[in-house]
Amino acid sequence: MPNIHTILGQINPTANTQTNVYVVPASTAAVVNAIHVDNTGAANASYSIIVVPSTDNSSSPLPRHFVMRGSIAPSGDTVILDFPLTLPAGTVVAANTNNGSLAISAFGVEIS
Amino acid sequence: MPLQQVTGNEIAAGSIVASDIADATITAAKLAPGAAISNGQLSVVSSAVGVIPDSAAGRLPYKILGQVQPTANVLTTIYTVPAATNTMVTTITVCNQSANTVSVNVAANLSGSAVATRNFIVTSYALDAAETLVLEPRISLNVGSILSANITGANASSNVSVNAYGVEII
Repeated sequence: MPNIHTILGQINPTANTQTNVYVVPASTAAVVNAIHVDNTGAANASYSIIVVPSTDNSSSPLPRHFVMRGSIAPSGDTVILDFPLTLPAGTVVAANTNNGSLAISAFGVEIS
Repeated sequence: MPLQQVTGNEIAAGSIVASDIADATITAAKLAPGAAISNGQLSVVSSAVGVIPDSAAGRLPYKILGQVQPTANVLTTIYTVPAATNTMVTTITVCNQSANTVSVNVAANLSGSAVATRNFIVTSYALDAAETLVLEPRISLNVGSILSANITGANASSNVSVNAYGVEII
Protein backbone atom coordinates (compact mmCIF):
# COMPACT_ATOMS: atom_id res chain seq x y z
CA MET A 1 0.00 0.00 0.00
CA PRO A 2 2.43 2.69 -1.12
CA ASN A 3 1.64 6.33 -0.44
CA ILE A 4 2.96 8.68 -3.10
CA HIS A 5 3.08 12.36 -2.22
CA THR A 6 2.94 14.17 -5.50
CA ILE A 7 1.76 17.00 -7.68
CA LEU A 8 -1.56 15.57 -8.75
CA GLY A 9 -2.24 18.05 -11.52
CA GLN A 10 -1.38 21.50 -12.88
CA ILE A 11 -3.40 23.33 -15.48
CA ASN A 12 -3.78 26.73 -17.12
CA PRO A 13 -7.38 26.44 -18.25
CA THR A 14 -8.82 28.25 -21.23
CA ALA A 15 -11.44 30.81 -20.22
CA ASN A 16 -14.95 29.42 -19.86
CA THR A 17 -13.81 25.87 -20.58
CA GLN A 18 -14.16 23.23 -17.92
CA THR A 19 -10.80 21.48 -17.61
CA ASN A 20 -9.71 18.48 -15.57
CA VAL A 21 -7.18 19.24 -12.86
CA TYR A 22 -6.85 15.61 -11.77
CA VAL A 23 -8.47 12.23 -12.29
CA VAL A 24 -7.90 9.55 -9.65
CA PRO A 25 -6.31 6.53 -11.41
CA ALA A 26 -7.82 3.05 -11.35
CA SER A 27 -7.20 0.93 -8.23
CA THR A 28 -6.10 4.05 -6.41
CA ALA A 29 -7.49 6.42 -3.82
CA ALA A 30 -6.26 9.95 -3.35
CA VAL A 31 -6.28 12.64 -0.72
CA VAL A 32 -6.04 16.10 -2.23
CA ASN A 33 -4.44 18.20 0.49
CA ALA A 34 -4.25 21.53 -1.26
CA ILE A 35 -5.42 23.26 -4.40
CA HIS A 36 -3.61 26.47 -5.36
CA VAL A 37 -5.34 28.99 -7.62
CA ASP A 38 -2.78 31.54 -8.80
CA ASN A 39 -4.10 34.48 -10.77
CA THR A 40 -1.16 35.47 -12.95
CA GLY A 41 -3.13 38.16 -14.77
CA ALA A 42 -3.87 41.85 -14.24
CA ALA A 43 -7.61 41.44 -13.70
CA ASN A 44 -9.60 39.65 -11.06
CA ALA A 45 -10.90 36.26 -12.15
CA SER A 46 -13.75 34.06 -11.00
CA TYR A 47 -13.32 30.34 -10.78
CA SER A 48 -15.19 27.19 -9.88
CA ILE A 49 -13.99 23.82 -8.62
CA ILE A 50 -16.04 20.66 -9.07
CA VAL A 51 -15.62 17.12 -7.77
CA VAL A 52 -17.45 14.46 -9.75
CA PRO A 53 -17.45 10.79 -8.74
CA SER A 54 -16.97 8.10 -11.36
CA THR A 55 -20.65 7.25 -11.14
CA ASP A 56 -21.62 10.67 -12.53
CA ASN A 57 -20.84 12.39 -15.82
CA SER A 58 -18.06 14.92 -15.29
CA SER A 59 -18.78 16.66 -18.60
CA SER A 60 -22.21 17.65 -17.31
CA PRO A 61 -21.65 18.55 -13.67
CA LEU A 62 -24.66 19.05 -11.43
CA PRO A 63 -24.97 21.75 -8.77
CA ARG A 64 -24.22 19.22 -6.04
CA HIS A 65 -20.75 18.65 -7.49
CA PHE A 66 -19.55 22.20 -6.88
CA VAL A 67 -17.09 22.78 -4.07
CA MET A 68 -16.47 26.39 -5.16
CA ARG A 69 -18.61 28.34 -7.65
CA GLY A 70 -17.97 31.87 -8.82
CA SER A 71 -15.30 32.52 -6.21
CA ILE A 72 -12.88 35.37 -6.86
CA ALA A 73 -9.12 35.10 -7.30
CA PRO A 74 -7.78 38.68 -7.15
CA SER A 75 -5.20 39.69 -9.74
CA GLY A 76 -1.69 38.77 -8.67
CA ASP A 77 -2.94 36.74 -5.72
CA THR A 78 -2.99 33.04 -4.95
CA VAL A 79 -5.95 31.41 -3.27
CA ILE A 80 -4.97 28.28 -1.36
CA LEU A 81 -7.69 25.75 -0.67
CA ASP A 82 -6.08 23.63 2.02
CA PHE A 83 -8.87 21.33 3.08
CA PRO A 84 -8.52 17.58 2.44
CA LEU A 85 -10.63 15.88 -0.20
CA THR A 86 -10.73 12.08 0.12
CA LEU A 87 -11.39 10.65 -3.31
CA PRO A 88 -11.96 7.12 -4.65
CA ALA A 89 -10.77 5.82 -8.02
CA GLY A 90 -12.20 7.55 -11.06
CA THR A 91 -13.14 10.78 -9.34
CA VAL A 92 -12.63 13.90 -11.45
CA VAL A 93 -11.48 17.22 -10.01
CA ALA A 94 -12.06 19.96 -12.57
CA ALA A 95 -12.01 23.74 -12.77
CA ASN A 96 -13.56 26.51 -14.78
CA THR A 97 -12.76 30.22 -14.93
CA ASN A 98 -13.77 33.33 -16.84
CA ASN A 99 -10.15 34.24 -17.47
CA GLY A 100 -7.25 32.39 -19.07
CA SER A 101 -4.72 33.68 -16.55
CA LEU A 102 -5.22 31.15 -13.77
CA ALA A 103 -2.65 28.52 -12.84
CA ILE A 104 -4.34 25.79 -10.85
CA SER A 105 -2.35 23.09 -9.06
CA ALA A 106 -3.51 20.16 -6.94
CA PHE A 107 -1.19 18.49 -4.44
CA GLY A 108 -1.77 15.39 -2.37
CA VAL A 109 -1.26 11.69 -1.81
CA GLU A 110 -2.09 8.71 -3.99
CA ILE A 111 -2.72 5.42 -2.18
CA SER A 112 -2.77 2.13 -4.09
CA MET B 1 35.72 -8.27 31.21
CA PRO B 2 35.29 -11.89 30.04
CA LEU B 3 31.82 -13.35 29.58
CA GLN B 4 30.52 -15.31 32.52
CA GLN B 5 27.88 -17.97 32.78
CA VAL B 6 24.82 -16.69 34.61
CA THR B 7 22.94 -19.20 36.66
CA GLY B 8 19.38 -19.27 37.90
CA ASN B 9 20.65 -18.55 41.39
CA GLU B 10 22.08 -15.29 40.29
CA ILE B 11 18.83 -14.24 38.64
CA ALA B 12 16.33 -15.13 41.32
CA ALA B 13 18.02 -16.50 44.38
CA GLY B 14 17.61 -20.06 43.20
CA SER B 15 13.85 -20.09 43.51
CA ILE B 16 12.95 -19.84 39.88
CA VAL B 17 11.47 -22.92 38.26
CA ALA B 18 10.40 -23.81 34.79
CA SER B 19 6.74 -23.29 35.57
CA ASP B 20 7.43 -19.68 36.45
CA ILE B 21 8.65 -19.10 32.94
CA ALA B 22 6.18 -21.13 30.90
CA ASP B 23 3.06 -22.81 32.14
CA ALA B 24 3.50 -26.42 31.14
CA THR B 25 -0.20 -27.00 31.50
CA ILE B 26 -1.21 -24.22 29.17
CA THR B 27 -4.22 -24.98 27.02
CA ALA B 28 -5.75 -23.43 24.04
CA ALA B 29 -8.52 -21.99 26.17
CA LYS B 30 -5.96 -20.07 28.23
CA LEU B 31 -4.78 -18.27 25.11
CA ALA B 32 -8.01 -17.57 23.33
CA PRO B 33 -11.26 -19.36 22.65
CA GLY B 34 -10.73 -21.72 19.80
CA ALA B 35 -6.96 -21.37 19.91
CA ALA B 36 -4.55 -24.22 19.25
CA ILE B 37 -0.97 -24.32 20.52
CA SER B 38 2.00 -26.25 19.26
CA ASN B 39 3.93 -27.96 22.11
CA GLY B 40 4.50 -24.98 24.35
CA GLN B 41 6.29 -22.95 21.77
CA LEU B 42 5.25 -19.51 20.73
CA SER B 43 3.42 -20.41 17.55
CA VAL B 44 -0.31 -20.06 17.96
CA VAL B 45 -3.00 -20.76 15.45
CA SER B 46 -6.37 -19.40 16.38
CA SER B 47 -9.57 -18.40 14.77
CA ALA B 48 -9.70 -15.68 17.41
CA VAL B 49 -6.79 -13.84 15.84
CA GLY B 50 -8.17 -11.02 13.71
CA VAL B 51 -7.09 -10.45 10.14
CA ILE B 52 -7.58 -7.26 8.17
CA PRO B 53 -9.06 -8.31 4.86
CA ASP B 54 -7.03 -7.21 1.88
CA SER B 55 -10.03 -6.10 -0.10
CA ALA B 56 -10.22 -2.96 -2.17
CA ALA B 57 -12.71 -1.51 0.28
CA GLY B 58 -10.35 -2.21 3.17
CA ARG B 59 -7.26 -0.85 1.43
CA LEU B 60 -8.80 2.24 -0.14
CA PRO B 61 -11.41 3.58 2.28
CA TYR B 62 -11.11 7.19 1.12
CA LYS B 63 -14.51 8.34 -0.04
CA ILE B 64 -16.77 11.08 -1.23
CA LEU B 65 -19.31 10.37 1.48
CA GLY B 66 -22.10 12.42 0.04
CA GLN B 67 -22.99 15.21 -2.38
CA VAL B 68 -26.42 16.78 -2.03
CA GLN B 69 -28.32 19.86 -3.08
CA PRO B 70 -30.83 20.22 -0.24
CA THR B 71 -34.26 21.69 -0.80
CA ALA B 72 -34.54 24.99 1.05
CA ASN B 73 -35.80 24.64 4.62
CA VAL B 74 -35.75 20.84 4.46
CA LEU B 75 -33.33 18.91 6.65
CA THR B 76 -31.62 16.65 4.14
CA THR B 77 -29.39 13.64 4.72
CA ILE B 78 -25.87 14.08 3.37
CA TYR B 79 -24.58 10.70 4.48
CA THR B 80 -25.59 7.65 6.51
CA VAL B 81 -22.90 5.34 7.86
CA PRO B 82 -23.31 1.90 6.20
CA ALA B 83 -23.67 -1.40 8.07
CA ALA B 84 -20.53 -2.79 9.74
CA THR B 85 -18.71 0.50 9.22
CA ASN B 86 -17.36 3.40 11.24
CA THR B 87 -16.58 6.66 9.51
CA MET B 88 -14.31 9.63 10.05
CA VAL B 89 -15.66 12.74 8.34
CA THR B 90 -12.67 14.89 7.45
CA THR B 91 -14.22 17.68 5.39
CA ILE B 92 -17.60 19.22 4.70
CA THR B 93 -18.01 21.93 2.06
CA VAL B 94 -21.12 24.09 1.69
CA CYS B 95 -21.09 26.08 -1.57
CA ASN B 96 -23.63 28.88 -1.91
CA GLN B 97 -24.47 29.08 -5.61
CA SER B 98 -27.37 31.48 -5.07
CA ALA B 99 -27.31 35.28 -5.32
CA ASN B 100 -28.14 35.84 -1.64
CA THR B 101 -26.82 35.11 1.82
CA VAL B 102 -28.22 31.88 3.22
CA SER B 103 -28.19 30.32 6.66
CA VAL B 104 -26.39 27.00 7.05
CA ASN B 105 -27.20 24.30 9.59
CA VAL B 106 -25.40 20.96 9.87
CA ALA B 107 -26.26 18.13 12.27
CA ALA B 108 -24.89 14.73 13.24
CA ASN B 109 -27.05 12.27 15.12
CA LEU B 110 -27.11 8.63 16.11
CA SER B 111 -29.11 6.01 14.28
CA GLY B 112 -32.75 5.85 15.25
CA SER B 113 -32.90 9.27 16.85
CA ALA B 114 -34.60 12.37 15.53
CA VAL B 115 -32.44 15.45 15.03
CA ALA B 116 -32.69 17.61 18.13
CA THR B 117 -31.01 20.86 19.16
CA ARG B 118 -28.15 18.95 20.77
CA ASN B 119 -27.22 17.34 17.45
CA PHE B 120 -26.23 20.51 15.59
CA ILE B 121 -22.56 21.15 14.89
CA VAL B 122 -23.24 24.31 12.86
CA THR B 123 -26.28 26.52 13.40
CA SER B 124 -27.41 29.57 11.43
CA TYR B 125 -24.05 30.29 9.83
CA ALA B 126 -24.51 33.23 7.42
CA LEU B 127 -22.96 32.18 4.12
CA ASP B 128 -22.69 34.91 1.51
CA ALA B 129 -23.41 34.50 -2.19
CA ALA B 130 -20.66 32.71 -4.14
CA GLU B 131 -18.91 31.76 -0.90
CA THR B 132 -18.01 28.29 0.35
CA LEU B 133 -18.04 27.27 3.99
CA VAL B 134 -15.37 24.65 4.69
CA LEU B 135 -15.60 22.55 7.83
CA GLU B 136 -12.86 20.17 8.88
CA PRO B 137 -14.83 18.55 11.69
CA ARG B 138 -13.01 15.21 12.15
CA ILE B 139 -16.28 13.72 13.27
CA SER B 140 -16.25 10.02 14.11
CA LEU B 141 -19.53 8.29 13.38
CA ASN B 142 -20.68 4.78 14.18
CA VAL B 143 -23.00 2.51 12.23
CA GLY B 144 -26.22 4.17 11.14
CA SER B 145 -25.27 7.65 12.27
CA ILE B 146 -26.58 10.41 10.05
CA LEU B 147 -25.02 13.61 8.78
CA SER B 148 -27.57 16.14 7.55
CA ALA B 149 -27.90 19.75 6.48
CA ASN B 150 -30.60 22.39 6.27
CA ILE B 151 -30.39 25.67 4.36
CA THR B 152 -32.64 28.23 5.99
CA GLY B 153 -33.10 31.98 6.47
CA ALA B 154 -34.90 34.78 4.69
CA ASN B 155 -33.21 33.92 1.39
CA ALA B 156 -33.19 30.16 1.81
CA SER B 157 -32.32 28.63 -1.50
CA SER B 158 -32.11 25.20 -3.00
CA ASN B 159 -29.10 26.31 -5.00
CA VAL B 160 -26.55 25.28 -2.38
CA SER B 161 -24.36 22.18 -2.56
CA VAL B 162 -23.15 20.24 0.44
CA ASN B 163 -20.28 17.74 0.07
CA ALA B 164 -18.83 15.44 2.70
CA TYR B 165 -15.49 13.64 2.45
CA GLY B 166 -13.86 11.11 4.74
CA VAL B 167 -12.69 7.62 5.53
CA GLU B 168 -14.84 4.55 6.05
CA ILE B 169 -13.38 1.99 8.44
CA ILE B 170 -14.69 -1.50 7.81
